[in-house]
Amino acid sequence: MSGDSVPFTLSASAFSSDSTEATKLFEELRKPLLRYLVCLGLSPDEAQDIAQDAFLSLHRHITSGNAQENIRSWLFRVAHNQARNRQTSYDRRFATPFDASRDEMLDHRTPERELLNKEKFRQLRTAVRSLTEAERECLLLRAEGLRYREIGEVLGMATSTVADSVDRAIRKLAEKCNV
Amino acid sequence: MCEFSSKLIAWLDHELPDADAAAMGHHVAACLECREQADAFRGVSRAFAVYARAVPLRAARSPRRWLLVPAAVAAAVLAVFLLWPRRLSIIQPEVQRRAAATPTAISTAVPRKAAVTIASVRHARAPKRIQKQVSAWQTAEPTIQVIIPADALFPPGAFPEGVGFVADLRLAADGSAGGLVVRP
Repeated sequence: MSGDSVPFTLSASAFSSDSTEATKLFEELRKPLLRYLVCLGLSPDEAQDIAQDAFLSLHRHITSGNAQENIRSWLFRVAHNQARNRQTSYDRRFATPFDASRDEMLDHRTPERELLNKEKFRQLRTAVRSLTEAERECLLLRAEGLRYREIGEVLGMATSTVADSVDRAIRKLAEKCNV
Repeated sequence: MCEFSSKLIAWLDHELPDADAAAMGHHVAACLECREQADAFRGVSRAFAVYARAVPLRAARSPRRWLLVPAAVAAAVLAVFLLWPRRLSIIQPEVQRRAAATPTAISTAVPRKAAVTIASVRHARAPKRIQKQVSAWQTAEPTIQVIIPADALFPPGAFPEGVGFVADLRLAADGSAGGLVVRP
């Protein structure tokens, strides 16, 4: 391992009053968490609900005296599990929830989209569809900057399994599209 | 395939133990195949990150639709206030004279009616009633016609699409502002 210090460690003091540390944490993690939830197939509104609940749970968890080693993976794990609970009904409606949001995106012109031309975007989308759910989730969390160990904590996998999933997923994508 | 290739992605992600990472670094510097693969993996990782970020984080709403509401209300209020003094001074005597002559008195001043009209566009029947009263003493063609789409005044869904209001401003023969009629 590269030996990076564990990011996003926090103690109860951070939430004791209107702490700037907690505010900073919220601002840093809110968007990545929302993006991850939307990529799982939730609507933006549902994602906002779940993210808010996750932050509230975190607040309760920390203020009740539980020191948390890695806030980021804790938060993503709580949100991921809530999203999964909601999606049991969603899976019946959308065969591929992840792609449901993608199709809408083809009509949105965002600065990010400009970087990938339409053809490459389609190629990548097809390749992403060929990934397993676990591979996709690993890549999404990795794209939000989570370490393999953190991804393992979120998804309930061994770090070595995450490493294998990421490796397989990236090779599949590289094979199927020339980006 | 190069034997080091299997650890390439973990190496790119800084997930290898320090000793392995160092060995990998030396190898990649010397191995063309691994360098090319590393470039491809970096590229696809970047592309995936861009792809994953291109999602809407807010529910799709058109902000301009909502801006129309206060804008239209402001325009309507402005129109009433711009017309108010002139109608007060010129029209009121004539209206009062006519009110005295007819039993269906339009005793309240016209400007006040006009203000009520604007305020009551919400009630579909209100404009008709006022139009009848106004047409009793005013037959001139509308001089100024303002078309206000219903969705500019009310939240989306309150009216069927395409429904709008037309505000007719009539000028009397003497050039004074005769009345303001808002109809669906």
